[in-house]
Amino acid sequence: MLFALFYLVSGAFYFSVFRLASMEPQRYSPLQLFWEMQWLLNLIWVPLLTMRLIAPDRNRGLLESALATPTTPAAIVMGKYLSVLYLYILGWLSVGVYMLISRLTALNAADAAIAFSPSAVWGGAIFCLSSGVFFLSLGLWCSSLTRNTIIAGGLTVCLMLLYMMLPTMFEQAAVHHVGALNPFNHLENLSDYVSGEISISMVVAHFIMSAILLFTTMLSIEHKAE
Amino acid sequence: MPYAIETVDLSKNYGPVEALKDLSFAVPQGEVVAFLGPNSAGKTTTLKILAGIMSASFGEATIAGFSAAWQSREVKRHVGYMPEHNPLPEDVTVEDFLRYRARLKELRGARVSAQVEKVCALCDLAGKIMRRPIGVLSRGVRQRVGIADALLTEPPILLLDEPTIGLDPHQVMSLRDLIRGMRGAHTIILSTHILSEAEVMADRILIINKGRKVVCGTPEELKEHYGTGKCLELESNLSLDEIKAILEKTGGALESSEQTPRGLSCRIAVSDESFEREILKMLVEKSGLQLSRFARSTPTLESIFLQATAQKDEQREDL
Repeated sequence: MLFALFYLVSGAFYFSVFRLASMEPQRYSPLQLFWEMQWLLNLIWVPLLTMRLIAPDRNRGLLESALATPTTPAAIVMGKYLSVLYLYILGWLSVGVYMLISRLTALNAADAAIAFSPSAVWGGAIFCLSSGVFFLSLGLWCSSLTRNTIIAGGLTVCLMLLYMMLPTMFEQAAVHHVGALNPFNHLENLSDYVSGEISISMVVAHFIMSAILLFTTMLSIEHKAE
Repeated sequence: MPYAIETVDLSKNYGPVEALKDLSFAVPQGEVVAFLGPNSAGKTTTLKILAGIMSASFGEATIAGFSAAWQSREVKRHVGYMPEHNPLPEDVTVEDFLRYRARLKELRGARVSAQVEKVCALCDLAGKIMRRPIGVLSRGVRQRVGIADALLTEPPILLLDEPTIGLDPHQVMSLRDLIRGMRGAHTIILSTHILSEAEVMADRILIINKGRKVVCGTPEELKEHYGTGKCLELESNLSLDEIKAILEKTGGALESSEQTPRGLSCRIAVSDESFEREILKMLVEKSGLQLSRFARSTPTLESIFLQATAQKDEQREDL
């Protein structure tokens, strides 16, 4: 059901971008434009995947039941996280299928080569994976804070939006002394990746933030069992 | 005799609230202990500490020789815990759920299937039930799934938190038989509100109130201690005022009264046998008396429970 919804939305989104981009000359390829909008799809996909990870288990007492086994809280958190990461990747693989379809059905081979250049394909994909690693841990953490699935999902959306928009908002408000936030400007980093400027530091930052959130989730689970 | 479970001055605070205070008791191996107490007495908190999922604020709990505080993983390997309300996922089948739980409990390979089959046979879950989603099962069957889960690794200790809550009498009987069948092979702590259940199933009864131990002993010891010769049951055609008048003269105290088809049934607390004789003497002097019952009451666990939990906190006893 979740996958059907995501495939439908991502498919409609992908082909709409391609159709609109092909109407007049563009500075970027349609694929780059699509990848630039990936945050919008993640705002739907990540909360849908993560909101049911811990909140309903806590609500129904299943978490307590799991903690009564020799399994450690770390194993429970990592088990849930890795399984949801797998589903996240599986969801985004649909875009690979759409790329294949649009590549195979492209009329002009030269245009297709430009549209599907390695930098356009891999820059966005790497950023999607790297930011997914972080956002999923954020969603998992939100799900551990409450017993209510809807609140967990809502909180995830709000925090994701805050993380994505805060540096831009500060920039708009001309708050210069928060320049330290610039390396975390999600939307700017996304643009860089999509245009082929891949920076390892952003990937490392996503992984570190993800590790911190997973550790906090583990502590939260231990604390809630008390 | 080695103790399967031993607690020494176990205390648990939730902020300023004392959920448990200096709770000490020991359970020998193979014994079934009924854990009784009013709501919020601290039963579930105690079981959670013994199951290794909650830490005590003070004191010590040793389960199968392992410290619940420092060796909680070992404790979890030796304990089968069925939480209150028996939480189960609705959308998976019994078999899939038990297989998943078996893996969580560190069973691997062929042992998973073997143990799942074994506990399903033991808890009468074999056949079609195994392939049904848990959400469609009756309450009684779900409780059996919970017990099957607790038994998966054949733990020496079972902690069952109100296993018969919400079941109809047939389901209660079936579950009682199941637990009775495990007597001797497992040390069992059974938290319950149903006093008759405790009386029938337990070797010993531990009553706690407001987080403190009130009394611990066999049902016979409790009855002897709390009840013998202290109550009189009287059923006659006399009115309540007439009974009260008799009691004013003899000194007994009316505990309860109830109108029945045969007349007024009263429960009277008396301090010794001379009061009984006095009361009987005054009754027979009444003209037109129809006495349908005059007997020393056998103390029920209900009355013992009420007496025990009404005692002051300081009065704690081991029988």
